[in-house]
Amino acid sequence: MPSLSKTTFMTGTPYPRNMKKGFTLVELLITVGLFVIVITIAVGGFTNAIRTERQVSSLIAAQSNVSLVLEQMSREIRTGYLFCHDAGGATPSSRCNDVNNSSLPTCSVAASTGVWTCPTLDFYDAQVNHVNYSWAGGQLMESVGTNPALSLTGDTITVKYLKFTLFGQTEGDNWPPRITISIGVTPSSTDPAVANDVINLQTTVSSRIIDCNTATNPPQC
Amino acid sequence: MPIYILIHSRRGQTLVEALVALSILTMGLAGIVVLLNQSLQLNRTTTNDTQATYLASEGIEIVKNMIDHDVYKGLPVNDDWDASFSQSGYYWNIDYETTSTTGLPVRANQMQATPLYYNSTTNMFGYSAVGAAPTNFVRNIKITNIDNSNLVPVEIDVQSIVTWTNGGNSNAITLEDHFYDWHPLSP
Repeated sequence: MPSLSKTTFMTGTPYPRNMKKGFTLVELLITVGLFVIVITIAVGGFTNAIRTERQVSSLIAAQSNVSLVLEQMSREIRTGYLFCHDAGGATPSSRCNDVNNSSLPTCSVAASTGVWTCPTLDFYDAQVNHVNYSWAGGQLMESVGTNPALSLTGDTITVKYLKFTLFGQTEGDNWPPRITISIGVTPSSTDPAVANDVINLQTTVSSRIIDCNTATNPPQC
Repeated sequence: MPIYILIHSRRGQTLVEALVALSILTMGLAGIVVLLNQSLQLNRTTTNDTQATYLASEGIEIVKNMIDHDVYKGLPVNDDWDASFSQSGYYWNIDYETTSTTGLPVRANQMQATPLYYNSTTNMFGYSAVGAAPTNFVRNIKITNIDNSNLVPVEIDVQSIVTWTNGGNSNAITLEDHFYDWHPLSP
C-alpha cells in the first residue's frame, strides 16, 4: 500500500508536485553555482577596479604636483639672475651650491660645449633673495635667503633625479642664462606598477635678465 | 492545458531568464573593468601630453634665448636681432645645446622627422644620438617672419610643434610666441 504522503486519498496517483521538488534541487544547485561564479568574477573585477583607481589617482597627483613645481621654478628662473655665482663673486662657481651648504657636489662641465650640469641651482630671484634648489631624500628642496630648505614637492611624489644644465651663465658672454631643468618623478606608491613608472620631464628657461654684470657700478641686473 | 505543465514551462523560462539577466550583469561589470583599464591608458596619454608640453615650451625658450643673444652681441653698433632666424618658413631642430643656427639641418615649408633622443645616463632630451635612444617625440621649430616692408622683419612668429604617436594615434602640441625687435638702434 502506497504511503499517504505520496498519494491522494481519492485516487492513489502520485502528486505531480513530487517531480517539481526534484527539479527545484537541481535548479537550486545551478543557481547557486552560477551565483558563486558571477560573484567571484564581480569581486575580482571590483578589486581590480579599486587598484586601478588608486594607480590612476596617484599618477594624477604626481603629474599635477610636478607641473606646479616646474611652473614655479620656471617663473623664478625667468626673473632670476647670477646663476651659480657665489655671493659677491663676479664669475660663476662650479660649486653651484647654497652658500650655507658647502658639502654639496660640484657641477660637471662638458668640454665640447662648455655646458654645465649641476645637481643644485643657486641664483638671485627678482626680489634679490638668494634661492637654492636641491634634491634631498626624494624631494625637491628650495631654500630662500637664510631660511632652512623646504620641500617644494609633496608627499605624493618621489623625485628620482634632478639636474640643472646651464649655458650662458658667465658675465659678459652676451648670452642670457639658459637653464635646462631635468626632473624624473614617480608617484609615491607601494604598488610596483606605478612606483617604477618614472615620468621624465625636461624644460628650458631663458632668463629675461640678460647677462647681468656685477663689474659695473651699479650692477646691470 | 493541465495546470502543472503551465507551472513547469514557466519555471524553465525563469532559469533562462536568470541566465540572461546574469550574463547581462556580467557584461555590464566587464564594461566597467574595461573602462577603468582605459582610464589607466588615458593617464599614460596625459603623461605624454605633459612631457610634450614642456618640450615644446623648451623650444620657444631657446629661440627667445638666441634672439636675446643676437640683440646683445650687435650692440651698440649693429641690430642683429634676427640674425639666427631671418628666413621665413623654415623648420628647425634645435635643442638645449644649440647656440647657432649655422650649419643646422633645416627644411623649408616642411616638417623635419628627426626624433628627439633621450639619454638615460644624463637624463637629457636632445639631438645627440650618442648613448641615447630615439623617443616618440619629434620637435619642429617653425619660424615665420611677419612684415618685411622695411627689409628687416619686425616680428618673428615662432611655433614649437611637438608631435608623437601613442598606440597608433598621432598627437601634436603647438605652442606659439611672437618676438619683436625690442632694442632697435636709434635712427
